[in-house]
Amino acid sequence: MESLFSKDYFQLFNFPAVYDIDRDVLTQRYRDMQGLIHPDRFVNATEKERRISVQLTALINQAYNVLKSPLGRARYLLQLRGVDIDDSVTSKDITFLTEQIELRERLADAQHSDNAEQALMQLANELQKRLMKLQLAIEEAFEEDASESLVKAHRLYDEMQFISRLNDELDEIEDTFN
Amino acid sequence: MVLFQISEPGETKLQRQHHLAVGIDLGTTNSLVATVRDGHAETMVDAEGNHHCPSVVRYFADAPPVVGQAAKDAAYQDPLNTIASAKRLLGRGLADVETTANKLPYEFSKTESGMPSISTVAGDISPVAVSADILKTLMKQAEAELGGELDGAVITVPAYFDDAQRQATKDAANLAGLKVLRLLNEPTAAAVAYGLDSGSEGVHVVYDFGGGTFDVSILRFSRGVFEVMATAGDSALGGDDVDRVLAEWIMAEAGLSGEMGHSDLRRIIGEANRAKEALTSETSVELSVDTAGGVQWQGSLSRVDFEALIDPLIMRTLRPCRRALRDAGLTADDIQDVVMVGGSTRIPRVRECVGEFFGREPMVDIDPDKVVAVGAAIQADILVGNKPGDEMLLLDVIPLSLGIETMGGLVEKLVPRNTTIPVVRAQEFTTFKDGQTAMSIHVLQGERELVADSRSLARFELRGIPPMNAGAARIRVTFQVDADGLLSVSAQELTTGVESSIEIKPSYGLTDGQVEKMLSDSLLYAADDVKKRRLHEQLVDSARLIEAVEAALSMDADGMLSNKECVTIKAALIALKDKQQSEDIALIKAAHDKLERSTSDFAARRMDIHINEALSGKLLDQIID
Repeated sequence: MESLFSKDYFQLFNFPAVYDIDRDVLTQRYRDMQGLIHPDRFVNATEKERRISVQLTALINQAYNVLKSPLGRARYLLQLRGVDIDDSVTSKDITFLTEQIELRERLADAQHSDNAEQALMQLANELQKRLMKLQLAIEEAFEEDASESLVKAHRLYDEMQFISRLNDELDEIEDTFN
Repeated sequence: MVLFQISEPGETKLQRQHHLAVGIDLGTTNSLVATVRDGHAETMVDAEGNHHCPSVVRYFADAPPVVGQAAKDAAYQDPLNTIASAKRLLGRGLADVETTANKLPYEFSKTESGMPSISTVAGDISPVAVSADILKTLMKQAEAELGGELDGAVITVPAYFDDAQRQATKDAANLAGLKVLRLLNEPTAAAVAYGLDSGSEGVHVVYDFGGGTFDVSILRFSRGVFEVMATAGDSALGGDDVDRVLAEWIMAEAGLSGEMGHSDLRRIIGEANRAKEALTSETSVELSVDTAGGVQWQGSLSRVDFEALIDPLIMRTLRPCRRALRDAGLTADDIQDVVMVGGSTRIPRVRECVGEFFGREPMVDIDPDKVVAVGAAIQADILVGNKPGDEMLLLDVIPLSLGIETMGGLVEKLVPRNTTIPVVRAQEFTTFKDGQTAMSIHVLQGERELVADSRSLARFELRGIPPMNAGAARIRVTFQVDADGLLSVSAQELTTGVESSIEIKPSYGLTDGQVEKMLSDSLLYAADDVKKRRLHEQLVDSARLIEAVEAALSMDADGMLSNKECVTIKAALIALKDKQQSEDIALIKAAHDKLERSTSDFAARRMDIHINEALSGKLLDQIID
């Protein structure tokens, strides 16, 4: 029998390794597994069993966090399919680079505009929509089998990552207004 | 295949006995102990019939300390030797508490570890020791009432407690001789107390404004699982601050300066506390001050003016509420109900502001002072094994991000706040000098980017790295946070597989050696007592192990064990049972460890097989659904 520790995150939750997974089913399976393996279920067990329970629960938590996040899932799936993701390499796509600069400027403008709170909220909405679109696009790219599709998925992932980070920064700025 | 039967005459195998377990709310101002009896959770009373034990300890030069109401009553006469609000100092460095300390009427002394100690006639007393004395009192009270020694306790901590504060709480329990089943977050405990009554599914907010801390947690309750979605708060904001703000107002009105005697300061804080309580039902209150220095003053305070004074404090509680909502990805509209916990939620203005913020009337059905202890008792009853088959499960989160120091005094976050625990994160490091065999790592907790702004948890040295060229070594450091929210660290050099030795120096905690020393110091009081307790703890631990191994053998010996393995385990089992009669802790411990070792492979095999089976069963059910 295969040890749970040697399974990939999709296998752990009994999903095929695809981008489009049912979040509700994932959450349900996560809770069911927690119910079985959580350390609270092993308070009276032997030391070894308690240790395994902690490690296994940590693994399930990690797997769940990666799979439930659209960005984390994309990254993990790329890695499973053999793509080496190096965050320190910047994109060579000029159009995307130009857009990154533009979006950054818009964030700075929004932050310093007279009605900053509203401007920020508007930009946040836009970023959210953009992320939704990217998710659909990356889902499609993952479904195709060709190697160009994987390159495309990687590019889309970079874009998702940038937008997500920008969104986090925006959240932090919004925090300072509260 | 059973080689020989092991069972005592007249004893049914795997007989379940009722275990004695309690929930303890170790509060800043008051502490409570609760237990489940006949399926009903309730707080227990002391000899005088009080549910609350004031978290106050008075120390004497040549007598054991006095805990509770008697100590609290003596606070005016003997302020320097009567310690209140020790929880605020737990797991804190002297530098941290200096702002608070200036306002506390104690003499502080610095210790080697950088932890604050309070100078009393009984010597320097650490906040851990004060907490241990409170826990010991509650433990004895519970044991007297339940008629036996406790098998374990769930102790609650503010959700916002960091690793050092949690560790200090656990150290205090250890010092008191109490087995900790789990450190449970106070708001989670409160939700358990409420949730099991109403059985309501949905998202709940727990707003916990206690004596010394403020916490807000957002929990989802679904099909028997309590999942903490986000938690935020301020571990140095509570009802004490309300008293302090009020006391400062009284001092300003009475024309008193900050320079005054400890007992005068106490008296004014007492007066402020009385005024606060009166103003929950009255619209104004009369105040009077009569100091040792001869200052006499009388005045009155209206509820409206009182509210204006404390509004800034209430606003400080709403900021974390906003952050918790955002971390959970929710808005106030998603909230089903708001549970109020802690004495400070009795203040009408607090209820009003919280109601406004979340857009609904907050729930106050269960006594806000008892709800945490009651929830802890329910959880203790489940954990100790009195309710087999109970499906309720709590999934908790880490309240503050964990990180390590990188170049330039910056913090690199490894585990972000509100990550579900337990959690394991590994990080790789390399050497930067040829032949380097040691490396130092600094672990921090908090949300800020600079090391200087974060809480330092531990510094440790990795030693025994095999000498290699700079950058060739690959050292994987693994950070593990367990279900109690406590951190442990291990490290391995990957190219050679060498385990590095790690020596963790907690920045503000007690080292194991210090805990041992405090334990042996307390021998001065009751040597027999401590020894008996240690023996009892060992016997309980071993009985638990015997029960677990016997259950495992009867279930899985056939098929999972070779004859040889089976014989080894059973021999170790008999040896431990035999030594259990000896009253010799060292002998029992040795036999215990031997049984643990002999079952280690068996345990791993069982876990894997059972979990795989159970999971495929669960998943099949879902497909059939």
